Amino acid sequence: MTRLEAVWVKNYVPHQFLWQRRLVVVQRVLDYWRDIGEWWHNEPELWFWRVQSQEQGVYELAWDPQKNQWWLYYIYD
Amino acid sequence: MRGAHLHVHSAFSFLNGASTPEQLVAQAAEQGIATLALTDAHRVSGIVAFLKACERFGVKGVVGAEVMVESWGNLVLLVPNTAAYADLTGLLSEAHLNHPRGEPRVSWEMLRRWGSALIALTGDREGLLARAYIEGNQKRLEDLAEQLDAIFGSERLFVEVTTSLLPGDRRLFQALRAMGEARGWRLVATGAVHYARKEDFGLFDLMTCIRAGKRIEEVFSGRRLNAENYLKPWSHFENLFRDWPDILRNTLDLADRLEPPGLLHRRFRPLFKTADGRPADAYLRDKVLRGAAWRYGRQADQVRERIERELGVIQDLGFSDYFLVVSDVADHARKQGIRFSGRGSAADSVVAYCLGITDVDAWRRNLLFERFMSRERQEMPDIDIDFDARRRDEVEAYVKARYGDRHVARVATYQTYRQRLAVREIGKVMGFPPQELDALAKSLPEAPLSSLLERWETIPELRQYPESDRLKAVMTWAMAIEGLPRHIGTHLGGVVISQEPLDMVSPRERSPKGVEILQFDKRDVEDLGLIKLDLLSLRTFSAVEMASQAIGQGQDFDYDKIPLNDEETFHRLQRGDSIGVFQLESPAQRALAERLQPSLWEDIVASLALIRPGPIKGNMVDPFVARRRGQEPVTYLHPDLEPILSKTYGVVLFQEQVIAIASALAGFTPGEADMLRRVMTHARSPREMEALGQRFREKAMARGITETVADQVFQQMVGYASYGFNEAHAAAFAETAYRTAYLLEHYPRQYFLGLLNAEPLGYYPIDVLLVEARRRGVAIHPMDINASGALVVEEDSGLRIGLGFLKGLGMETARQIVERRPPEGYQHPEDVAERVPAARTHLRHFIEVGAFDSLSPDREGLLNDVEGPNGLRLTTVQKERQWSLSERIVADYRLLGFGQHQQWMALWRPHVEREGFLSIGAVQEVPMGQPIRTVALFYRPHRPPTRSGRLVVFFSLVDETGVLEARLSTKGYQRFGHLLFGKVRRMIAVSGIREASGIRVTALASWPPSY
Repeated sequence: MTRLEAVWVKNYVPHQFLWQRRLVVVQRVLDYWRDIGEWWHNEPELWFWRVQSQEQGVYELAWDPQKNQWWLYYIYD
Repeated sequence: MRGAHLHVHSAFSFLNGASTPEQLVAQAAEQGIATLALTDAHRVSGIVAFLKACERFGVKGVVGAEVMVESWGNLVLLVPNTAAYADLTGLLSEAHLNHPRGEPRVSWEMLRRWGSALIALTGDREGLLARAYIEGNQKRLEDLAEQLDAIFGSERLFVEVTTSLLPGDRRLFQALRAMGEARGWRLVATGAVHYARKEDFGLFDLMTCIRAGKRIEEVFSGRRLNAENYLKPWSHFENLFRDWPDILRNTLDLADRLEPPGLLHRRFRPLFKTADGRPADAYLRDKVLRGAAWRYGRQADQVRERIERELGVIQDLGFSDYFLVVSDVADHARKQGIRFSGRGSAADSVVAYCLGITDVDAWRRNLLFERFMSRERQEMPDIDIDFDARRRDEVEAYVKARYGDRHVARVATYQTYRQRLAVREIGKVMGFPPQELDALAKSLPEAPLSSLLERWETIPELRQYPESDRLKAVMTWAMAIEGLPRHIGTHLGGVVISQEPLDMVSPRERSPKGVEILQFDKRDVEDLGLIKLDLLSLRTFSAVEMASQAIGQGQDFDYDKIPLNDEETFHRLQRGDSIGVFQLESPAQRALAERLQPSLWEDIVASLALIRPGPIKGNMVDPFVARRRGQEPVTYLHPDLEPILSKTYGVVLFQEQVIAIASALAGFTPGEADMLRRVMTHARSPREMEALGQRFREKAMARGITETVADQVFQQMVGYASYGFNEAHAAAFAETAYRTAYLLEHYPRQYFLGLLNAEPLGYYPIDVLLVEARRRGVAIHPMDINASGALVVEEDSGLRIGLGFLKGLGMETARQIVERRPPEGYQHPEDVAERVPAARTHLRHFIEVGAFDSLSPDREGLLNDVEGPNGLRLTTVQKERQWSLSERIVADYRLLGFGQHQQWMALWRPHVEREGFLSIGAVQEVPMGQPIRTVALFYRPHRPPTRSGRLVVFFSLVDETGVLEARLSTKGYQRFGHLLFGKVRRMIAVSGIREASGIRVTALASWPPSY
């Protein structure tokens, strides 16, 4: 899981983000869900987007709404 | 208000919903949701609370249920109007009754029969279509779609998409949409709600773990990934489905189409078919007048006016059939020789007395009928009858046979989470070992968990635990679950009887005991318009019947003709020597009797009302005792109060007196006065109470009462209204209390026989009853395979312990052993097993408690025999192997729970005597105020409410010489409480000061100290 420093959002939906000094533009959102995690250990709820970029890469982005922090959770090869 | 939630689970989905119906409705109202449907899993138990809350909050309430279709998945069924409700109840009844308990199922055939008017939603991810899609089973998906289409068609079937925000939702919804469009089905959106607010998820997740039997750390199928199943505002729906506006439109259209069912304002009366076809009113009048002649003889005319007044109310409210039904039940029990007695507020009725339903003469006692029924209140009358516990089911069977299975059903109870269960189940999920939780649960004082959490450090049995932070977390969650329903059970005795089939009102299912029950509890059935009759079990009546039978074998005896002024019986009560007496045996009652010195029937009635939390907290006991004993003058605030309060020496003790005062002084009708009493009971705010007081004052002053007196009287009423006791109920119980005291005084052997055979009942365990029996000169003979019956039987001047008292054996096996006993008796344990195979696994225990001692005192040898090869009976008796007294007593307590030969402490007597400890019998001889030291078993430690509000512990000390009560102060509780509550040893050393009620404890220690 990698911390993302810059994510651009429209209507709560990410539409581009900076990763490895490269701007990844989201072409479409494939899926969206939320995960409460281990709440009894005070883990935060995370919002997930599985997105397809213009370059056809598939990424899972996670957002912690409490801290307003973005993470790159997974990259599909 | 806008928006609709059409798929909502409450806590009545039992561990699949974390909010009450009221909480859900309140949340819907707050969110501005216009329509809410309650769709609990296979039940409608929550709908009464739900519909009432919907009325209160102005939310349109729709009823439905989620059902499992065969093994394919769930379907949500909605009731579009009142008429269709009976289809849902019929379907749910079949789903429960045609399948094993706890696994209700609906078949396609059932859906075809019952589903023609119901609306179906395809459910969330557990829905049958979603499951087939997720499993990738296209063939099944098509088959299911065909079946649904055939039953519901496109008008009544809706494809459900949810706001659950789970991975894969988009693809799932697109697939369902494509399928729906192909078949002309419309899509609707739901929240698949399982809790009211997002922050309730933690509790819901813990409940899910409890349901699955998993720990919180475990990942398992069926556990929710996120906290999105709460009752969301409609704006979330609009945002989520902004690209699919037709879904939102369809949802609102469907919500408009659904009508709230009119279930709350109906009335289902029983129908009593009179023998001569006359109307019930006329038939009842005749029967009551005949009853008046039976009860009052020549005085019947004097009672006529009262009877007519009662009959007028009964007829106006339409309850003549009900009274005839209850009277018929009483007649049947009487004919069959089943002992019974009506209790509760029904004993305020002369009509009930004349019909032989109750035995309290409400006319002579001047009891107020309006406490039972009134035109103003218009509530269902509630008649409770206690029957001999052994025969109570015969009575219910008669009612079912007479009125028909479809018209009679048992009422349910919702078993709710209480402190201990909540702590046990939450703690288990959070990873605590069961033994630790058991000890914690047992040691919890009876106080709200919130208050325990606040006072943790001041509670000795709690502060002893390590890991207090983790335990506090358990208790915090336990607090959240406390009060929520856990499962459904059988009400002790409530049955409803209706002229119309009960399927119109409620589904039926089987309780854990296998009894067919409705899905509603006693309050809900009343709101649904059903009338209830409580057919209760009273083990004391079983004891009385068995005792009467034993007495009657040697002489003429009629329990019902016991003289009611027997001096010796009253002397027994005055000494506080009443262990075993119905309702008068508790330490508090015995202590009161020693102070009150009852010598009149009315003293017993008052005693039953005095030992209650209210009178104790309200400091009513001392003034009452002082006035009764002539140590304080009896005064009245106004002369008009004298006729009302003279029987309680000027003290307001009974609810009926509050009603009478309001009538006499302020001119309220009795019905209005009872309403006033009820409002006073529940009115909590000073403003409400002030308004009531103002009304009372004005009415009283209009009748010439001074403002000061009116005010003082009102304050007195306020003080007592909330905890005054129902006099009729006290009088009904006094009857049995006095008579059982008479039996104890004059026929101890036979009465103890009855008590022991009716166990479990009463305050004290068998061990204490045996101590008392021995103290009264009743010899206790141990269990013997050839001399014992299944129950306790008389033998010589004593009692012989029955075989059925062996733990785990069961009365049926015990009876078989007795019935199949050969004429020459059993000669060896193997003989028993040969004739009663079910007894084989219990042979060892029988030997250990000495049931074969008369055949061979060498228990070790017999044990070798039954555990040796094929029961060859090779053992010869070896005297040196005979068990010591201590071995025998230990076996008794382990396998029976009491000492047959001697009480436990007899074993320790030489040892404790050497140490200078007194027996209980010796302590009782010590003058008041002197120090004492004793060692005894302790029973029933409890922390009842006290006048001062301080926490004081009371417990009973028992040894082979008697029983004595002990009191531990607040300070003592802080030091020694951990020795009395939780996982503790029962033998305890006590030092203290002898006082009238027993011992004031100054120090406690576990005994023996070397343990």
